[in-house]
Amino acid sequence: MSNLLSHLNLTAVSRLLTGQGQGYPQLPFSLNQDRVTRLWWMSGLFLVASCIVLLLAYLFDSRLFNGAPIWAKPIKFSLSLAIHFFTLAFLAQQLDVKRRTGILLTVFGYAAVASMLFEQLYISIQAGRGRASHFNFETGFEIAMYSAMGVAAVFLVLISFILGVMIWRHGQSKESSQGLYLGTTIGLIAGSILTLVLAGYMSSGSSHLVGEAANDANGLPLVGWSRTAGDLRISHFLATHLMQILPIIGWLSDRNQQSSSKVVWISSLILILVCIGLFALALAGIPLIR
Amino acid sequence: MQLNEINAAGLSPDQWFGYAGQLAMIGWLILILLPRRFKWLFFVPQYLIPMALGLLYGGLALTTYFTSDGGYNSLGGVRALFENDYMLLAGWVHYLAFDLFIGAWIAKNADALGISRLLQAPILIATFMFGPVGLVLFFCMRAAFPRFKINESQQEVSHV
Repeated sequence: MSNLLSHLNLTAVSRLLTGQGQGYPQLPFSLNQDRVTRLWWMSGLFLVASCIVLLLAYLFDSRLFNGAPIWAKPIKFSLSLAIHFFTLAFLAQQLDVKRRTGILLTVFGYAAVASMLFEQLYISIQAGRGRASHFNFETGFEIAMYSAMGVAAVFLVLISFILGVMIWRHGQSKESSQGLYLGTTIGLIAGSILTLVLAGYMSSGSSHLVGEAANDANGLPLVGWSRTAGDLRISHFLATHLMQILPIIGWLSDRNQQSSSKVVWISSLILILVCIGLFALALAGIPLIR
Repeated sequence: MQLNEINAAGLSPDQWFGYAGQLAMIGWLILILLPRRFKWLFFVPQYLIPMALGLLYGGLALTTYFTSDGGYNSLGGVRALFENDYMLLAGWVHYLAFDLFIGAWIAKNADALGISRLLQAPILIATFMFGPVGLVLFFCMRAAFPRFKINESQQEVSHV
């Protein structure tokens, strides 16, 4: 009995020290209960919820923007950002609770969530108004908002970069699951840097297309990539989702007891080259699929 | 204190509209921005302001509804009902009262679920602007915790 009591006491104290959730309902997939994991998981849920609400607007609204349904863009962003935040929550489990809830990840974690809310809200509002959110230089307000979106986007990849570096330095998975460890660090670090470079280059132009004015009619299903012009969004897509692809490759090769670090290194190399290739293809004005 | 006297004394439906809106706004600001640890403070948006708006609604609707040509049976009936400015005002006050009460309910449940105040803000703003949209957003998030039940006796909420 006294043993049990002292144990309860200890958990209460450690919760206070580590920012563990106090009696909140369990997160799924045995994710930890600390505040940073919970913040990112809830952000993902918020984005999925937003996507569901937006789908109804997508069904009802017949308006088009550049030839594509106006609500397609906020829906794509909500899904992509949901994946981003769920990924952060999952991969952060490789850090011990103290580092995960430390000042660095807390500050940049909240900054990333605030940036996400700003991006998702502004993109949705602009879609509803039938106006561009990115590449909009028409009014003073929209110019200012477009540059604010650039700042917010930097915070969104800054958190994945910082998390990647922290797992690289302190990841607990280093000995136990080499593939997951390597996939996570390369995926987060290379994914963040490539996203920053590729999306940064795209935003310095006047449209996501090369060789054609902005026109999203007859794009590929779901992703909306152009069939007639070079599309800079394709390499951005692959670069950003390296953050999911490489950890999954690593995790799978751990499970199959392959020489997982070799598998991860080779697939990283291939995927990064593919990413650069897709970027070159877009710059040359060639569509991926006609 | 009859409606026509109040109107003659210079308080038109437009002014009622302004006051009711400001009252609701105070409630939303408390819900979105202020700390939750003071019970008396949370009581204001949860009960006090919806109560005041509810009383106003009752007074407006009960004086107007029964003499109106309109009714709740068809869209045309509702349109006819709202041709009277006092009934239109009552309808708006109904939104204000219910949206705020629902906002407080969402806030309380979101605290118990451990949803950060940063993430609660857009849900509450959505409830403020487009009532059911905020409610649906919150329902969708809560659906991810099928075994969650708010513990009414455990009123004290901790902060995220």
